[in-house]
Amino acid sequence: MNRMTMVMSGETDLVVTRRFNAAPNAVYDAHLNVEKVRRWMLGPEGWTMPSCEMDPQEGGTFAYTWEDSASGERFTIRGHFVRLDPPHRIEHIEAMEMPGMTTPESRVVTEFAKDGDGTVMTMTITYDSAESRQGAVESGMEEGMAWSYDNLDRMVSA
Amino acid sequence: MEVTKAFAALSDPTRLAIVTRLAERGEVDVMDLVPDFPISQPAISRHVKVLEESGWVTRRKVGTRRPIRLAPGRLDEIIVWSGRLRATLRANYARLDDLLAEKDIPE
Repeated sequence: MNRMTMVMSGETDLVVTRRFNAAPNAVYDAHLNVEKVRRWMLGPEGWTMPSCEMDPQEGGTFAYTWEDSASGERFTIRGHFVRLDPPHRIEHIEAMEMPGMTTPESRVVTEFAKDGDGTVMTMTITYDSAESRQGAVESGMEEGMAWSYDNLDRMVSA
Repeated sequence: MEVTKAFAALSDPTRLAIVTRLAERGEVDVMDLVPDFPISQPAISRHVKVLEESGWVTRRKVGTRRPIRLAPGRLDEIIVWSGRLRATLRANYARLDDLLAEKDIPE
């Protein structure tokens, strides 16, 4: 099983690692191909992605909008690509826009390393401050935990 | 991969015990650790070397001594087990697994 790890590193970084059973170019492409992104970057269960715009080139912008089908609540992640090094590395800047507030920008470096017949992805998110990182990690904590436990239930009863 | 390497280094009980001792005592000479372990000083030195290479331990030179201590900031690394961001990414990557498994479907 390919497990995800999420670790706070230093003052402002959050490091996420995950292995995939596909070559780096396939995983890289799935991050920059708008048709593919719409199929997997959907967020928690019950959310949809009504809008996904992307200009996958250095300096190009992107904007992903999610909507909770139950409440109608929406948020958008908007940013631009700083550096693209296919199929090894994507560097971008992003900020999250919610009704009434926009988070400070964070810098995201996503690296894809060949690992046997698969790929190990390491995503390093650098927030503008330790407070911003804490906010990002803790947002919807209870909801996230409930969701994880639902998943665990399904896993152990399968 | 730095984080993966760091935690892999702690998967050994002796190395985990060395890190715990350093967290309690601050700076020590490797010789000071010897009475605490049922293994030889060269064996302890080998474990310390792994901890240095994985970023857990730093060593400085004081005359002929080479005392070791925990690298600053290392214990600040905290594994995040819950939260919406974690749940979201887990769900996203599970769907990405499915998408990547569709090898036979022409693009």
